[in-house]
Amino acid sequence: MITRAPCAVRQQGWLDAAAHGITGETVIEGMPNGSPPLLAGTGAVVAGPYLAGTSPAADAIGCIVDAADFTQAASAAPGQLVTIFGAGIGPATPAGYDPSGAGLPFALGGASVAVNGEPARSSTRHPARSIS
Amino acid sequence: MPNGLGAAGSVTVKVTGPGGVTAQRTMAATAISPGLFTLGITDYPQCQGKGLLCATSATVFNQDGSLNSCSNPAAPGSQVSVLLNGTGMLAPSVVDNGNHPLPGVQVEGAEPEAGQPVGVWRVLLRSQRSPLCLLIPHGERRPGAGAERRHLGRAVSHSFYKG
Repeated sequence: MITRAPCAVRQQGWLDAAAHGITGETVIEGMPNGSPPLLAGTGAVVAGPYLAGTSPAADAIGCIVDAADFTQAASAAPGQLVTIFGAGIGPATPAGYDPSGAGLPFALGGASVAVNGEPARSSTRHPARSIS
Repeated sequence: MPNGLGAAGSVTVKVTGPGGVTAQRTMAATAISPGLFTLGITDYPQCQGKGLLCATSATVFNQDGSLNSCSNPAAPGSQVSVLLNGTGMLAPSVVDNGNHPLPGVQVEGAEPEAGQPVGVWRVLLRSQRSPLCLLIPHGERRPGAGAERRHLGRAVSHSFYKG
C-alpha cells in the first residue's frame, strides 16, 4: 500500500525524496523541441514506495501537483501542465512523447488521462506518475 | 489540462493506467494557476563562495539555450529566460508589481513556449547583476486592452548566475 504521500513531503522547489529515504531513478523530463530538460532531479518520488510490491489503494491517485514546481495543485487552469502521482497509473517502463511528432499525445504507454471526460494530452508516463 | 477547461466550477481528473487501474480526483477550476519551473538538482553548493543569495533554483536558460548554473553562468549583459506554467488562455504580462522589485532586472517580454500547452510561456529577462536572486513577482495579465488587471500569481525567488 502507499506509505508515503509525495505531496506531504514536498519542500520548496522540489520533492526532497532523498531526505525521506527514497532513492531511485534519475528523472529528466521535458524535452520540448529538443530543448534542455525542463526538470531534472535525482531520486524523485517516482521510485520508492510506489514500485514493485505495492498494491494500488482504492484511489490510486496520490496527489496532483503543478508540473512546474510540484506545489500542490489546489486548482487547475486551461493549458496547465500538472503532474499526477499515484500507484499503477503508468507503464512499468517510463514513456515519453516524441517531440518531433504532432504535439503531445492523448495516451502514452497504455495510460491516459481525462479531464471532465475530455482526453488530456500527456508528455511523460512513469510507473507512478503522469504529466498531463 | 485541456484548453476548453472552464475558469470556474470543478474539474474531475480521471486516470486510467495500463493495467486497468482507474482513479479520479475532483479539484477546483480556475482561470490561471501560475508556477515557475524549477530545477531539482543544482551545483549551487559549489557557488557558496560566490555569493549565493537564494536557496532554491528556477530552471533558467541562458541566451544560447543552455541551462544556467554556477558552472555555466549567463554571459554579462545577455538575456536569460524562465518558464511559467498555468498562465491560462490569455497572454501573461509579467511585470514588476512594485511590492517585489526586480533590482537590475529588465523583463523583456513573454512568448508561448513552442510545443507546450497554451499555459506554458517563456519569460525573457536581462540583468547586469551577478549572481542574482531572481524574483518573479506577482505579474499581471490583461483580459483586454485597458481592462482590469489581475494578479498572475505568487512571487517566487530563485538564484541564477552570470559570468
